[in-house]
Amino acid sequence: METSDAMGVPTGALDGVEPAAAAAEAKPASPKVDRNRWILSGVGATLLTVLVLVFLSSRLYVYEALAPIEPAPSAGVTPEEAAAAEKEIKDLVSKAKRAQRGVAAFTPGSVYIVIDTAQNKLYVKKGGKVLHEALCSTGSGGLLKDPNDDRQWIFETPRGNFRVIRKAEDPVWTKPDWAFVEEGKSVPDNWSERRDYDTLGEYALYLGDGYMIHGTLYQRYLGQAITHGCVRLGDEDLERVYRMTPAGSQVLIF
Amino acid sequence: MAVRELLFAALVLGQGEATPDVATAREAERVARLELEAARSKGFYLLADAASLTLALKLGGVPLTTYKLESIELGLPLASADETVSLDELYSCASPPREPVEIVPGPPPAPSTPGKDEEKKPPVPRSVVLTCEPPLAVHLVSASKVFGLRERLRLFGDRKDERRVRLVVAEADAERLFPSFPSKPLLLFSRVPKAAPESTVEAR
Repeated sequence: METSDAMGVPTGALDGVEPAAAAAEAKPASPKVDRNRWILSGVGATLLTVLVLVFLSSRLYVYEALAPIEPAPSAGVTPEEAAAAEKEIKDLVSKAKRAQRGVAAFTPGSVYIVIDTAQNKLYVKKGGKVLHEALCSTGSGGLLKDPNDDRQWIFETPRGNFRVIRKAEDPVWTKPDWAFVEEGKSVPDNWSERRDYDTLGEYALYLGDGYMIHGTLYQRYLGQAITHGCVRLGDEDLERVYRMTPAGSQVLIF
Repeated sequence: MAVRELLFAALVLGQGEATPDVATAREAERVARLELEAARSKGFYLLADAASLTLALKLGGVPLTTYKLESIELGLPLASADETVSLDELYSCASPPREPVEIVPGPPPAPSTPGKDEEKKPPVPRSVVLTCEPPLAVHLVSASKVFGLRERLRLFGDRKDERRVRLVVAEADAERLFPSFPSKPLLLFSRVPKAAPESTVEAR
């Protein structure tokens, strides 16, 4: 007997669908459908793997050690070839020696200074040989900003090739603006207030642009990168370096 | 006379002992010529030597210091790994700028007061990547920090169709190298083999 709901729609028709669907769900999938699903999953996974591999292969690097060149085998070389090779080698060796002499000529034969900012060490050298080695302090690399305007300073020891442009005993330091800003003081208008008679120690070797090799009140910090860019030495080392190094000497800083 | 014997004599250029073969002589001449060019530039340059596994830092031809390397490796994208690559050029490189540590203004400590360590070092990088011309990326890494996961991921995302060279610096020397690394060095590679002791004996 057919039933109907409040809207008069025969429920039997609906009821008739549900049992059929339920029956279909309850029915176990055939082996053919299962196989198709597996095949599709397999194809999908393979495609995904291929895509990942393609992506990776475009991104991955292969590294190989860079080895010294292998000498060419000399077996089976005709006398003519050997003679030609000998001539070529002679020519190459001559050119290489000439170039090497050219490079060697850049090393000063006179006294020069090398400063290693990573290790805070100073070397006085001559012709490549170390005459004196000293612990020093180099630039901190710190950044100071002036709270009153846009000015800022980076306290690095400059790297490169410099010269001792001037030497002085009992040097007087004319303090630049940053020296006051760093201490939280106002910058004086009067230049006499900038004169400092103690900070630089007994000797100074001027490198230009306000940079110099000088003494320090902070001897306990030698070996540390704490300066404003100058190179500080202990008293004894400063005197030795001052005496050993004539004005005009090269100063190589790295 | 055996060409090899002649060749090794020239190899140890200046020592006049043994004799290199043509390939070795060509390499020695190339390196010497490029080094002279680098020295004339008056700036910093690095010479990476595959035979002695050293990285020499020089300024205008004057030797400054030498760092020990654990390896020099040439890297190529997997897709073009079969390419033959030479590192025969004088590369003009640039290293990334370092971030300075900001100083807080205040009175200085008394000179004679023993106090806490004043040194505030800018952070030392774990590695340096040089971007060079002709195109080459040079990865300098400390042996103790060879590519952690983070570094690998960064490089993975950073990949270009570039040739790479990885210089693994001995741990102790990395501490010296990275804080004072020059900002725009020239770079050249040497593959001149060391004269083997037995070869020298043969030459005698």
